[in-house]
Amino acid sequence: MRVLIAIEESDCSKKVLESVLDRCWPNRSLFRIISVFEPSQVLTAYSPGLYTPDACDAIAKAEHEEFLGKQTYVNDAVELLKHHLVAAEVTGDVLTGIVSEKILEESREWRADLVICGTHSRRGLAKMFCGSVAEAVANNAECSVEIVKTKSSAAA
Amino acid sequence: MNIVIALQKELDSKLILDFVSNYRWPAKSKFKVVHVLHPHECTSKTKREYLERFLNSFVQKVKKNTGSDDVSSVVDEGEPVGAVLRVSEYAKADMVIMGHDPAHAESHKSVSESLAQLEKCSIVIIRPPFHTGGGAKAKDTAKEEAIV
Repeated sequence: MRVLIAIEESDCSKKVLESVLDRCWPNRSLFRIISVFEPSQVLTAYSPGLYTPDACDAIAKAEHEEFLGKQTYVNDAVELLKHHLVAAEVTGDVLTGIVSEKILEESREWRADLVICGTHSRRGLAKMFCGSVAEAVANNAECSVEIVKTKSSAAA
Repeated sequence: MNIVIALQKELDSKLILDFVSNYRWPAKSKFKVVHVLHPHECTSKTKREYLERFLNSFVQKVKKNTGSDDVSSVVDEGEPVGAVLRVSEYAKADMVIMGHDPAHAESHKSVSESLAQLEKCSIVIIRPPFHTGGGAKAKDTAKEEAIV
């Protein structure tokens, strides 16, 4: 079984990993943990006239730190799964792009049987503006999808 | 742990049973299998009996494969999204498992899509795996294979 796990630095992703560790998997299961870095459009689209070079540098530095943070988070998650699921093959990567599109693209290219992701369960205006990655994945994936909700995310 | 299985299509039952059998459920997990009949759905006595037999057989398989004694089934009637939400709320579900269905012509939303949005607990939407020739193609051909 090929299981794609989409995580980010949040409580619901911790719950996702707990949920993965808390069950038995078929022999020879493969796990791929991904986190998607969504770069801001500021530098590419608006920087020349709008931002000073210092501001551009600060944004670029912040984004680089965010990328490294995701890389560390994914590496830690890979180690955690390798430690607990000894027989499983676990890989991880940080991808760059629009989050839901990248998860769907990866699920197709990697030929995942199951995609597992968490959700913030945004409602109302927050959802209108931010959308829901989990929903987009659930609706458009070509394989099974598990959306892990925490009690707090469900109450939001 | 309380698990609700929304079972609408015969094809889904095999995939869902596969998933349920491969999951290491906590001790004393309870399973509730629900099938929702649309109010306009024609349900003759024969079809009802077939449905009951099918659900009973599914319940027995879940019992056998999970080791749980607490597996029951219910046939509800009404609009599917509301019915599943009602059952999962009543059962205090921690997880809802269901197959994927095509978008409804009127609302442009499928039942699984609506439930992914509205359900308060974790939700698993089952589709045929790639290695069995599944994916989007299988999803499309399976859409009209209802139980009754």
